[in-house]
Amino acid sequence: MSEPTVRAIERLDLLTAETSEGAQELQRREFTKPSELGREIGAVLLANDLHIDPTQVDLERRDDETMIINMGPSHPSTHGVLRLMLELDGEYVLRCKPVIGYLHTGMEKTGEELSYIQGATNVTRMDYLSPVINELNYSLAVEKLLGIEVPERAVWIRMLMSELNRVSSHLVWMATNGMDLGSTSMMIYGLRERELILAFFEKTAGLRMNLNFVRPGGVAADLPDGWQDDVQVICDTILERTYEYDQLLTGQPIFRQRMIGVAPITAEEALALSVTGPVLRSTGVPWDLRRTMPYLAYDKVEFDVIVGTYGDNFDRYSIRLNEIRESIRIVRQCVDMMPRGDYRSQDPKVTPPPRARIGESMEALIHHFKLFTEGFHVPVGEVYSAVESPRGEIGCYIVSDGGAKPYRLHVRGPSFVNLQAIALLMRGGSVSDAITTISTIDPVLGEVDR
Amino acid sequence: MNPLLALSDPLFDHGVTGVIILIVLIKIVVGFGALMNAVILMIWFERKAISDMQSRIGPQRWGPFGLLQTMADGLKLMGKEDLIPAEADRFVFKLAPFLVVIPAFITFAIVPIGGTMHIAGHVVQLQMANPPMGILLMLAMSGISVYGVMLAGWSSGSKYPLLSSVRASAQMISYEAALGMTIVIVILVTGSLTTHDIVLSQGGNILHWNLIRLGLVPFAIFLIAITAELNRPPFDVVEAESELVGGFHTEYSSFRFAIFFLAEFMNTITMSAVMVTLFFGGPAGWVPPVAHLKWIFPILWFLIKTTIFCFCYIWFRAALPRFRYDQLMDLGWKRLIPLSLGWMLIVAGFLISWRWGLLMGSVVIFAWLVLTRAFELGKTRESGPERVLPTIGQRPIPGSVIRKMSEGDS
Amino acid sequence: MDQYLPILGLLLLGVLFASGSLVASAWLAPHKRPTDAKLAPYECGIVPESEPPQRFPVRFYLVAMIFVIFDIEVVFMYPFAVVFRQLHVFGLIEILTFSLTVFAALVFLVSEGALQWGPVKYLTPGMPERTSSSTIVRIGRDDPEQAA
Repeated sequence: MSEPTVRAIERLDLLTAETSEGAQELQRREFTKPSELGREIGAVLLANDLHIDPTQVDLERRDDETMIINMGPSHPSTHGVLRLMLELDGEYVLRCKPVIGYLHTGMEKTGEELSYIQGATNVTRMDYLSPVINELNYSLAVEKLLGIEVPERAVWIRMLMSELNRVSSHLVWMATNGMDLGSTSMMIYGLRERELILAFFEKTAGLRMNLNFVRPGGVAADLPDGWQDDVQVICDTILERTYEYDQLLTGQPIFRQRMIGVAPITAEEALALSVTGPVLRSTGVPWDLRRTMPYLAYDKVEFDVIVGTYGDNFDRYSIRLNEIRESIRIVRQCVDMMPRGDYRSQDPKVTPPPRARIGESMEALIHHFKLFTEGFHVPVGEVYSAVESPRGEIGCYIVSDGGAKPYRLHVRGPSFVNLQAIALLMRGGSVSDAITTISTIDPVLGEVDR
Repeated sequence: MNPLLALSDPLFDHGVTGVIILIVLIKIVVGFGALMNAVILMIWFERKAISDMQSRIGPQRWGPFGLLQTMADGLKLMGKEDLIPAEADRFVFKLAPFLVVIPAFITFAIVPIGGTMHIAGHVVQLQMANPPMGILLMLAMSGISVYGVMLAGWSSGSKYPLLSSVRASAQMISYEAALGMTIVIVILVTGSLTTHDIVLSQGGNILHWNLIRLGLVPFAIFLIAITAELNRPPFDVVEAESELVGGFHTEYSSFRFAIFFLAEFMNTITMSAVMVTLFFGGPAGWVPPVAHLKWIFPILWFLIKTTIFCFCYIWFRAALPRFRYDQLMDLGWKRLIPLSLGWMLIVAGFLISWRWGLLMGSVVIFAWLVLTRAFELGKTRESGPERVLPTIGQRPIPGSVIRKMSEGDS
Repeated sequence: MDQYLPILGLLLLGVLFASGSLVASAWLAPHKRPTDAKLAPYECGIVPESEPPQRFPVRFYLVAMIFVIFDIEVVFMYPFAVVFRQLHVFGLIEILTFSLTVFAALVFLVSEGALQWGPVKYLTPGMPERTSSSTIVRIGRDDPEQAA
């Protein structure tokens, strides 16, 4: 038995090189530049000026007292394959550096190879917890380039679906946050309620997760018969259950102790780091694109923007919990105000002819064939449009050269941008706080790495 | 009655003979078998109960109601490749599971399961051993299992287990002091260290149970401290699968890993039993006036009481999030230790006379005031990373700023 | 010493069980030559470049020292508790004196901040009791704050 052990130690260097990310990793202090060190200890860059002199902190620590530890990529609570390198002083985090790219699949590049009509199936896989909102974001950008209007019903269906998606995404967040805190029951409860929404998605779009439901020009299908009842049941059940979660979690002193006052961030810091979504709103800034830059028909529905007071983990938790309730309020209004009409644009340029016509008309068949093989052409131009995803501002930037495929597709992933704040939030907390902090930032690694 | 006589088992009154060794052997084997079966049932019970609480199904494939699931898991783990990491300290790595599991076995020996029985003309206590040091044995054994957990983490040569081992050593020793103090309170009224006497002294009716006799506080402290000693949720910072990925047993595989789990569940059962012994009168309870049923009812009572506590642990796990390490240490040192010390004085005072009791009570209240002041002083001394970056901006954000922002942006 | 006979027996049985099951496991388990990656220490899929540190922050040693003090003091209380009934008031005064010394040590440690484990970056001081509905502010469309 001893012989293979010796062999292994000899070759450990090889293994180390295999998994090493080189200069991207957290280095020992003597090899780190001051500006780099500043970022790792969570200094906020304000107009090219480091807010703190990094050479003035932790002077009394030496490298042999601290420990650099990898949290991730395969760690149960880094929400995917996020890798954080932490410098620990015993239990407490001194420096933190996220290393990303473990889930890089080149989706933006792939998007340049797919026609606009295929594009939605690509972007829906980025933030896999809010697929509808990703598709919506992409479709809105394409429609802006095309300059077409979608029918009223399609707008409301999109809104209904994206709010349901927001609920399901926040439910997963509640579940995983519970899991990270060691409250395993919450994990199951959150996923159980999400199942209702996924079942409705399946009924509507045929798929549970990556729906490809919202497409340029409208939505893929009309809502199924009896959808009002289904949505009613979903709303009633989940609204009632949010109060149960409130009791289970907020009513729990241990939970409050773990969340209140942990990992605070101020509005100025959040704005300097261009953080969006619940993390920004937790600091008290009422920045919600549904309110500040209304898209779809969000200016026609009543809802509150939820902002926090202190910018700590507890505020981020409360915001998400209350946003579930607000989303349900919007969904209810969607049910009441859902107009009749077409569910997709009748512009023959983007919309294939109906199935019935294909059997009768040769032209319709050719048109259908052309649309699905070659795709439609989009005027030359560039466009940026943004919507509010459960994680923050998700933006889509498309450059068109007049062809049937985007020349360049870029997505502003809120998870990716929000990760910038992680070093600031973690500094001074313990390892356990690091876990809750990752969780309250709520990164989806599919979106971070794209 | 001669106090020394009371300490000894009637079984050994006339020296050790062949028959007695046989009886002892039977006791050990039966006790061992019962404990192993209890562990298997406990694991099944935990999985089944927690899955009911979480609206899942839980184990159901092996045996009726999935009862044999644990056996299947154990067999599966036996068939797994046994790895010892290259960086590990091999001897200590192999030793650690033994240090965890053997104390778990031994502690169960001192728990009185029932009353007395007559076997082959000998009076036998339904308790594997009744040594004069009694309950101290439990403390000693839980001290040894700290070594097991600590050495397991340390010898793995890996960082997460090392963190866990440091947490384990600090946590388990911190709660040991409070645990010891509550046991002192129990011994104050019993006047004997043996578990047999502790049970006998609570024999009368429900009002004689230490739970009521000593006030609820010692029991509450004991329950909290023992949960921390067991590393059960919400005190499972040592294992903390979402933080330390299993902690001290991260590097263990195959049956070495299973041994840690067996030991944990064995300890859960044993500590529930110890709790029943110390505070709930052990096997005490109503016994029907039928001669042949007299020996079985105490055992039943004991089993019911123990099961209730086992269920409590499962309930904790389903309902409570995990403490953070520093909160856990704070609870142990700043709440439980002073509280148990104060309660011990009050109980001692009342045992003499109510005047002394009230005097002790006022002394404790005064001490509590002093301690509160000390907490305030202590809070001003900072620890942790010495310098945390100053924050920009103020908190909570003033309403006027919100208004300005929303006006400017919309 | 006769009462220790079963404990000795149980000790042997425990050792037998643990080693027996390990032997059975060794017999049942596959005998492969483990690969290097399997033998590497776990660090979330990354093979670490640095060894675990040999030194740990002094606070942990401090805990160990404080523990030794307290646990030994608790041990002194056992003999007292056993004979408490015989000692009566004398015992009570004595244990009160003893407890006061223990308590003085505790007060000293607490006021020195030696039992302070938390890092500094928490926002707790001066914070009101918060619930998930009191910590948030709702900004509706018709909110005067929002009307520009």
